[in-house]
Amino acid sequence: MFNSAMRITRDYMEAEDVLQEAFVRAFKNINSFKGDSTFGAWLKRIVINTAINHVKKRKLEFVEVEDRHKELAEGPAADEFELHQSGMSMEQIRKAIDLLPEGYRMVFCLYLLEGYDHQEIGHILGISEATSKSQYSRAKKKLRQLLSQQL
Amino acid sequence: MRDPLEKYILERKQELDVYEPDDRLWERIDKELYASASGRGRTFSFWKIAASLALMMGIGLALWLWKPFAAATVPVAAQEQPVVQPQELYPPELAEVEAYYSTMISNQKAQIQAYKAAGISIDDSMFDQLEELAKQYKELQKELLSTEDAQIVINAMIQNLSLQMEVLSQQLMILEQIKSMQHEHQTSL
Repeated sequence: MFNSAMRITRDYMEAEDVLQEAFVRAFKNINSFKGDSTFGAWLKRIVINTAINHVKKRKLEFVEVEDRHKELAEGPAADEFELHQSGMSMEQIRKAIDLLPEGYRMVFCLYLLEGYDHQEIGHILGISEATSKSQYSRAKKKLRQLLSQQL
Repeated sequence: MRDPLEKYILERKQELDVYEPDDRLWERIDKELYASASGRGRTFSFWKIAASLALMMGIGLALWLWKPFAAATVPVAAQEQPVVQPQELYPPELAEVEAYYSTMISNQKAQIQAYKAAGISIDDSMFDQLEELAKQYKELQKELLSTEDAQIVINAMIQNLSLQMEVLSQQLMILEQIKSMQHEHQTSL
């Protein structure tokens, strides 16, 4: 859970604050735990929502299509990653994820690592489902680009 | 549907978890929980206390499952219920959960014994309840080896353990109250 908070906030102190706030919130709202998921999953959801709220306070900015389009077009081909896959460490991937622009990173973490669907992500982040989808595919492209730069 | 990069990341997702929170964070959380619980006036609410205990248990369990390092902070006590069976089919996480609960449960039992030794009478129906739960647990253990959906049985087992712990926690709370009432009574005389 701490790592999920870390990935979203990208700040150790803030992730600690998130965990504290989320646990206290969970305690105060224990009545709303209906048992339709595991307790851990319920708690994690609160942690993630709290983390997102923290980042929102810092103003979450989604990267404009036009601004990034050029940059992506200049990046390496999408399948370049596959060529180097065997030599890629998770440490390199983790660092690359950290380097993603905030909006990309959030959608990427929520979708791939936390298993939310685009509808949920849209709801949590206050964007449309389509935006979530396109942010995700752009996040992947950007990640590949960052990874091939590392090699 | 997933491309190779996604698959690769998902397979090794756990390697992304490299951070651990500071130990003092749990103290901070504990303090804040305590403050918010006592800050709501002095109305005694059994449910609030039961809920907070359940939450603590949940957090403990969550930490135990997610962060093996938490194991170091669990007090090592004589384990009365070595329920772990040396079966190959026995999931290691379940063995961990069992070890955790049996430590907690034997701790609580020891505390209750201490109250008993101090001359406070204890409602016997609690022991019947515990015995019944332990019996159910043994049956679940047998079922686990033959079932097709192990997760359902495991969930039931964990629920059973947490129920046992809850029964003990409630008993301890009652005993604590009796003790403090006796104490007040004595000091007022």
